[in-house]
Order: sequence, then structure tokens, then C-alpha cells
Amino acid sequence: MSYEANTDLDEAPAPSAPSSPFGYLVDGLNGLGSLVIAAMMLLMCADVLMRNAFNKPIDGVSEMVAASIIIIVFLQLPSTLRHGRMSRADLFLDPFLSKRPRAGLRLRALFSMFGIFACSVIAYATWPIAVRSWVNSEFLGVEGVFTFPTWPMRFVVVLGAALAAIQYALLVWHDLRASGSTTNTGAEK
Amino acid sequence: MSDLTLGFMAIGLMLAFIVLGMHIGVALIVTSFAAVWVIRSPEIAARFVGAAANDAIRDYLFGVVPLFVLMGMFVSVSGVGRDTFDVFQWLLRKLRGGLGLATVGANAVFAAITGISIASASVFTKVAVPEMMRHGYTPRFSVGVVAGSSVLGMLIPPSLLMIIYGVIAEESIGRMFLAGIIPGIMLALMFALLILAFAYFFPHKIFQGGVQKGDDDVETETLATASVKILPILLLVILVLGGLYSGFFTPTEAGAVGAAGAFAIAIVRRRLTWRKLWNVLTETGYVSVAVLFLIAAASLYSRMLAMTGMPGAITESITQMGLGPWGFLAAYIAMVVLLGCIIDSVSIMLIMLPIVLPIATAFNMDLIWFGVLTVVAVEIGLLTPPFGVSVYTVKSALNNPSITIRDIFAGTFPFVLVMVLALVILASFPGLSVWLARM
Repeated sequence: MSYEANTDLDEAPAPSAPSSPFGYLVDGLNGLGSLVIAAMMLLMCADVLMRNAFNKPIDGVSEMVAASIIIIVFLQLPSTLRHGRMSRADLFLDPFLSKRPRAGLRLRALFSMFGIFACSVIAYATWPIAVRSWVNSEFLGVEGVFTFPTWPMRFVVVLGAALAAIQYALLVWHDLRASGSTTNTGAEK
Repeated sequence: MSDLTLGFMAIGLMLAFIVLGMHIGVALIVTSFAAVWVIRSPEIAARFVGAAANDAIRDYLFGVVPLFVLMGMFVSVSGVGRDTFDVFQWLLRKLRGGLGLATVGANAVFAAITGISIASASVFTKVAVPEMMRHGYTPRFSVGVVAGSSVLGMLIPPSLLMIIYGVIAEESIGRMFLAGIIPGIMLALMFALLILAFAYFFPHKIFQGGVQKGDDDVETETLATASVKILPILLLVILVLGGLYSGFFTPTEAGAVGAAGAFAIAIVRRRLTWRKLWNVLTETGYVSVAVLFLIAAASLYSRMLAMTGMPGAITESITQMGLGPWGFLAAYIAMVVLLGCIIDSVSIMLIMLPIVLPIATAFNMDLIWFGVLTVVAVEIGLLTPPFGVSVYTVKSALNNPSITIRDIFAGTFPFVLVMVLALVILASFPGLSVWLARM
């Protein structure tokens, strides 16, 4: 449920993850994804204007938007994960974490391992698709009017899924390390 | 072991993982992957995952998700929420319980420019609750009004839940938006009646000491200032919904134009700093990625379900049980409300709809009507204890330790009852939802 929670946009966000070189990379990609969202908005507004006012639609907008969605998701997935914004049910885990910190952290680490698995499968399954689109120079659009290659999109998926898997691995490591230094009673951490 | 048993096991395992706190998207992927692995082979399972990640969300239509979220965020920071509330407060100042009514009215109008009820809940918690408490309303009632009326955001277009329902049920998003209008207005009126009934018949329930404090501050609002305040929001509503229904643009483009319009309002009102702009963009990213990743994961899950033949089997057993369409509907709504205690609205729809849509179709139900009922039921779930998301949003935006989660649930309870009543009315008279949409 956490993904709907933060609506206080006036302040700088509270640091929700320790900074590290990997963290900068992940948050940098996240920023890039945000810029893609903004660009998508501007592109569509331009298209609406050109089409209705000058009767000159911009070619390929809908294909570009479709591809942008994938790019946005996989550029921002690792960062969403890093900042704990993936949706999950907290009714059991959160009370459990404060009551039995050690067991709770281990359970969360176990769940993150499933996350490593899921993201690895995505990266693994997308790799051949990405290679194929590179080798065959696959493209989207209508030849002669507008075309753009599909490989950047495919490789963003592979990259994003792989980084998300690494991010999950880091979460596992943090939780296991924390669980080693807590007793199983008392307050969190 | 038959595919069907396997399907049920996969769902059971998935629900267990979700309840225990695994990321919902991951739970969907892992259990579906395992089920497809057993039914077919690991290669096919991996190929399904690849397709879900690469093709399921590569659709122009999904542009609506980040764009409407972006619009909602810009609207939240632009301060038009407070203006709308001011105008309604001024309009309703002569009525007893006027501030409560103003909150409902402002929420209804605000709902027409944001698609996320959480945005309404947090804006109006900050704007309306202090004002109501200053005028002698009990804290409990003040927060109850805000949490209760925030659900209007999901019924009155644009609405994120309607978009997601439209995508899964393959109904036009424009029609789904239209379908929410009459139910949304009806619910707003029912909330207003509830507040009036409290104010006139049981004033001690909502006012401290049983009386409303008079407005001792100098009246500064005039027709002119009120019009200036309401103008931007009206322009935005006309721009987005007008453009959408006059055919100037598609729902996705309506999101883009609306976001640009909200951005312009925030700029003109000098509410936007670079810092805030960046926060809005990253926050939009987080919310949309969480939703879109879930949609991708759910596409894998629904392919797995189709493979096991489960929706057909459930339809058959329901018919054999003689449950009938109404029995099925009641069971479904109970299930949705129950899930609302555990997980968020989008996840509920993504998990339930692939199972129930084929059944609803088999019973010849109107899918637009079914969608409206689903959205109302989901929203009821978000307001019922022990874990109502909207309630927690109000709590965190409130930042006032003397008002407990318990108070908010208690204050919201009358509104939940009204919503249940609305749900019964909407179920009995499909025309309320369908008439505009099928016109």
C-alpha cells in the first residue's frame, strides 16, 4: 500500500535509503525516467495542437508513447524498489517486524530473494528478445514515414530488471545483516 | 494433479505470500511462473514472463496512468484544492453543517480533476479539518467527512480505478468515465443529506457541546473573489472532459493536456519551485511504476489462470450451486471489501477481475455496470477497519497525535454505511451507471 502514501510534495523527501554509488546510479536512472514522462506529456500536447489547429499530426506519437511506457517502468523500477515504494500488504509484516525483529527481517529477506528470482527471470527472458532485435535491426513504425529501432527499449528492460535484481539482493543483505545484530525481542533495530 | 487444482493452489499460495507481506507484483510473478512451469515447461514459463514484461504494458493506452497521476500531483501542489474549499464554504455559509457540506462539494469538484482519492484525502485533510475544528466540529466528524468524501475521487472522472478497470475489461475508458458521473453525484448528494441530518437532528454528534460556533471572522469573500478562485479549476475540468468528449483528443491525450494545464496553473499561481517540480516528477514515477509493474505482473497471472481453465470451472460450479447472478454478485462484493482490508485498490482489481469477468459475462451482466459496482466496493474496503488505506493517508497528513486511527475509523463509519446503501441502489438500478455511458 505504500505506493499511494507520500503526498507531501512541499518538502524535500526524507532520505529513505542510504546513499551509495549504486544508489546514485539507480536514482539517476529514475530521474531519466521522470524526464521521459515529462517529454511524453509535451510530445502529446504538441500532437494535439498540431492535429487540431494545423491539421498536421505528428507521425508515430502513439508508437513512441507505447515504447516510453516500457522505458519508464524499467528505468524507475530499481529506484521504486530502493525507496520502498513497491506495493505490498503491511498488515502482518509491520507489526511482526516490531514484535520479533529478527524473525521479521529474515522473513523480509526471504521475500526479497523471491524478488531477485522474479527480476532475474525477466532479465533472462528478455535477453534473447533484445539480442534478436539488435541483430535483425527490428523497428517500430511504418517504413518510409517514420521508424525507430526497438533495441534501446529491449535493452532498457534487461538493464532495469537486472538492476532491480541487484537492488533486491542488496535488500536481502541489509536485512540479514541487521537481523544478525538484533535480538529477537524489543523494539525494531 | 489436474491443472485446475494447480491453479487453485497457485492462487492460495499467492494470497498467502501477499498477506504475509511479499511485494504483490513479485508474488504474482513467482506463483504464476511456478504454475506454468508445472503445467507446461520452464522454457514456456520464462517466455510468458518475457512477454508480460515486454509486451503487456507496451500500449499507447497505458500512457494514461503516469499522465493522470502527474496531473493529480500538479493539482495538489497548485493550491486549487484550498480555493475550491473556500468557495464552497462561502456558498454554504448560511446552512447548519455548512463546512461539512463544503468539504463534500469541494471534494466532488476536485475529483473532476484528479484521478487518485489519496490526493483528495491528503489535500482536504490539511485544508478542511483545521477549519472545521475551529468552528466547533468534533475531530472525529471532521476527519470522517474528509476520509469519506475522498472516495468521490475514484468515481467522478478522471479516475485511475476506472482506467484500470477499462483496460482489464476491455471497455472504453471514455465510457467508464461517463459511467462514474451519475453514481458519483448521487453519492455526493447522499453524503450531503447525511451531514444535514446530523446537523439538524443530532447536532451533539458532530459539534462540540452540540452547537456550531458562529463565524466570527470578517466576511471577506465576495462573488468576484469567489469566481476568480473557482475559475482555474473549472477551466481545467472543461479542458480535460470537454476535449475528451468532443473528440478533440483520446483519454491518453486528455491526461497529457490535463497535466500540462495543471502545470500552467501551478506556474501562474507561483506555487512551483524547482524542488517541488522535481518532487512531483519523481513521485509520479514511483506511483506509476508501482501500478504499471503490477499490471504487467497481473497479465502473466491472468494468462496462467486462463491456462488452468479456472474461470470456466468456477462459472460452472456457481451455476450448479444455483447461486445465480445476485448470489454471485453478493459473494464477489463481500470478497472485494474483505481484500480491501489487506491490499490496495489497484491490486484488488488486478487479482479479482481476471477470475470474475468471465463469470459476469456468462451471466450476461453489463460490464460497465459491473465496473461501477467494483469501484464502489473497492472504495468501501479502503475505509473499513482494520486497514483502510484512505484512513491511514488522512492520519499521516493530519500530523496530530490526539486524533487516533480509531477516531478516524469511527468518524468514517456513517459514510461507509451510506456507501453500502449507494452500492445497493446502484446494483438495483443499473441504469444509473449505464445510461450516460451507453448513450
